[in-house]
Amino acid sequence: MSELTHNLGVSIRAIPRLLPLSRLTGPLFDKELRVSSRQRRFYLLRFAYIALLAIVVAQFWLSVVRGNRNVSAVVWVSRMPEAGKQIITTILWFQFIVGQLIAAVLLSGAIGGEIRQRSLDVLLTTPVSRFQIVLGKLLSKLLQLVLMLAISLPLLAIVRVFGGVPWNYVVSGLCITLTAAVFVASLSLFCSITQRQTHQVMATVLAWCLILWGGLLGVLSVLVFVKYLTPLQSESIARLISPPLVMIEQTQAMFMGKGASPWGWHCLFMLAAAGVLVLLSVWRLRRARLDAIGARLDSSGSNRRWLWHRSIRRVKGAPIVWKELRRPYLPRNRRQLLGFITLLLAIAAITICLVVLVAYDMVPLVGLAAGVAYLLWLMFVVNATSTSASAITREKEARTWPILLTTPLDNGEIVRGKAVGALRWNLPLLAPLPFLGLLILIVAFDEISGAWEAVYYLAGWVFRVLGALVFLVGMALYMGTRVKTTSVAVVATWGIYLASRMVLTFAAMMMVMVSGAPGAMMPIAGLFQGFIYVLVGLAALAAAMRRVRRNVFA
Amino acid sequence: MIEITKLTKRFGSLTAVDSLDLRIEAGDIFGFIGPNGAGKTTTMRILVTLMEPTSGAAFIDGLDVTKKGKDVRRRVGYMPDFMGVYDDLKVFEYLEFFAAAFGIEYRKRKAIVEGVLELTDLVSKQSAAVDSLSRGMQQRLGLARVLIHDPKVLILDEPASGLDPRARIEIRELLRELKRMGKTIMISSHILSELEEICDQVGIIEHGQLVFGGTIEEIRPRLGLHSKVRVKVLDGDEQAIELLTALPQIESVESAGEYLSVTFREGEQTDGIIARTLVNGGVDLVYLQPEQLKLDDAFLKLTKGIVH
Repeated sequence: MSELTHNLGVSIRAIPRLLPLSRLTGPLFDKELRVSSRQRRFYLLRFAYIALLAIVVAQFWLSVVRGNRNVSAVVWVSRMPEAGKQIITTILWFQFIVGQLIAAVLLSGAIGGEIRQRSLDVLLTTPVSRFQIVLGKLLSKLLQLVLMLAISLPLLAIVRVFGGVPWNYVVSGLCITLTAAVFVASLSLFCSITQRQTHQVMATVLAWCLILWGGLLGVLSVLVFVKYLTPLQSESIARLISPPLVMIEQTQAMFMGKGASPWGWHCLFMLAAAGVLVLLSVWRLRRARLDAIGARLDSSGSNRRWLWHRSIRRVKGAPIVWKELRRPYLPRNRRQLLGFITLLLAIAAITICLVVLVAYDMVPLVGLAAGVAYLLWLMFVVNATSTSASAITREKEARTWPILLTTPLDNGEIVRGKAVGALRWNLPLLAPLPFLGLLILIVAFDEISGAWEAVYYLAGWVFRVLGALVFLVGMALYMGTRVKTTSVAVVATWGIYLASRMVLTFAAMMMVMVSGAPGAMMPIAGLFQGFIYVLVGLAALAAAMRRVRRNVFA
Repeated sequence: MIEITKLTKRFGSLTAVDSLDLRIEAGDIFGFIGPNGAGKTTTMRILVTLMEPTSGAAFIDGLDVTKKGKDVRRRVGYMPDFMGVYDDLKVFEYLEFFAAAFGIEYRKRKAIVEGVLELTDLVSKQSAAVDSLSRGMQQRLGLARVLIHDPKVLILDEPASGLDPRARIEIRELLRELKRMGKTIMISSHILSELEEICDQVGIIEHGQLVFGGTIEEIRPRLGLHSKVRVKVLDGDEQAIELLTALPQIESVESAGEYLSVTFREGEQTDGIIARTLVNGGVDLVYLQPEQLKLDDAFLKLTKGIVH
């Protein structure tokens, strides 16, 4: 008996060593978990995530169940299943969007950071395989993400008690979210091998997600229109490749009380696609390292700087603004340029498809204009945040920050220069927005009661854009002075922007409800939001100026 | 030119610099020596206004570094221990950017940048990307950058670290040239023997406190310089060891391959006693040479080799 117990004990102790997971991930997984458990930012991120979720749920609770205090308790109770549905839908969609954003951010510096710090050299000289490096990085970050998603499970379980929400919807929503996040994380990891800067990785991942998941639907519609695909074939392909579409179908089915469309194949497809990206990452890893060494040895720098300006550019005007604008718009080496051109071609193809759909009245013009405006706006938010945050964190990462601070430039000159640089860098994305806004206004003019109201709408809209611009640049620069890495600064700025959007939207809703005149109050609410954003953005800029020389080496 | 009075910097419970007093005269090269974590870099960062001291005061050219930060920065050129570079800029652009940051007029910049490029022998690299330069070249570019605004004081934190012997010699020559130009230089290094050749004064720091400050000439008697002598005899090493060990002035005699290494007790005179004893004892003396006590030995002796 004792021998049996002993053998059993030995067998149990041997399990962790035999587990294929530990063999697959190697020691890197363990190291990453150790490091992340010591980092305050992960705890803050979880706290911020649950706080945002709580705000969202509270908003819905108040608006759906407690919206009208004059109703009886019976009506209240009868509303609870409806509220449950809306709250769970909100939570799942919130997780779906934020989960992917966080996955992109967490993995954006995974390999690029190792290359930058030259620690990948050391790793590649150990018996740890490239597969273990890639998988160790990926799984350790995904574990953080899973933990964050798991935080919301008790909330989902409680809200489900209200009734009206089938388990299938909750499970399918979580699975779709998780597999989409795994795919995005793998894509971000792959991009972090080919691009050194984390904000470039984030922007690239976002662009590809928009193309793959949104834009391709347009392409499929055109293919159906020209009778290259049958509607059924198009639907099947779309269901396989587009997580937002599958989520929309699941949500619609839940609200209508219909049987949900199958989602298992979609999840398997996303995991398989993520697997392909992991294999590609493994293949690219050593090559990327060799490229980096080659680039360092290439003393002229001409080989990797294909579009590098041959002539020397003289410094004119404020030196900080000049330096910020010296950052190239276009990628500088052939491979990055190829990726950039592919991206542009894909966006152009999707736009042409959408224009064709508008021409044949399959999509309304205002929908197209609004869609393009939102797309540009999203790209602007991502770009403005990352360029502003990286304006300072890049200097910290490259250790040029202390050198800059030993010049006689004062704090105001440095922060203002960085802000002006970031604004001018992002103008090309903002430039088409007024035209699109005008287009939307002209198309929707019939629904607006008069010219003054149109002016109000336009002013509110412009003010909101201006407010967001000042807010994002100011807050990202402030975060840049507080933290060391670009990814943390970007995530923190996005988090604050998202939270403030929710709070201000809630405040605007309350203003409209209390006034009892939605038509008149809507533009004023827009102006109010823009005004608050401008104020907070300027306050953040002032705080950034005060913080510039604080904890330079922290 | 540089004056530090009771300077203290604490990080929580750790005291990095502890009531440090220091004075460096204009035109001197001051070698700042100490083991890792002794407080050299922290002191330098306070001097260049990158850190605030917990207490005490530091002055450069009579200006308080905590109150006149901007004016101090105009007078000082600082080269950190690890020099970061902008990967988007070329060598000329990098230097011109800092020239603009130091407020040098546009029409004067080109000539100034060309001047420092010539001084640091980087003219041929002016169109190269900054991050494509070798480590030695980057260090030279760092020196070019600190000279761009013609500062009175240069504070260089281990400028020769990680360089090959040729690059080190080049940096040393450059520092000599800067001394000739009348710059006051504060330099920290772990290559102590190099400091010995270029420094007018040295300061040895440990636990944030100055354990020695003075000229190289002052450090020698204090540490019992010439207290070691190399002795080579024709035959009879054992007899020589026996004769010398019997002398009360001699602390130890060790065989070091072809010669004997004789160590005197501290404060004892060496004049003639060894030669007299050996000749009188019938040992044929081939040569007798006092061993120079190098700065490395002084460093080890003063800091007792305690490294944190």
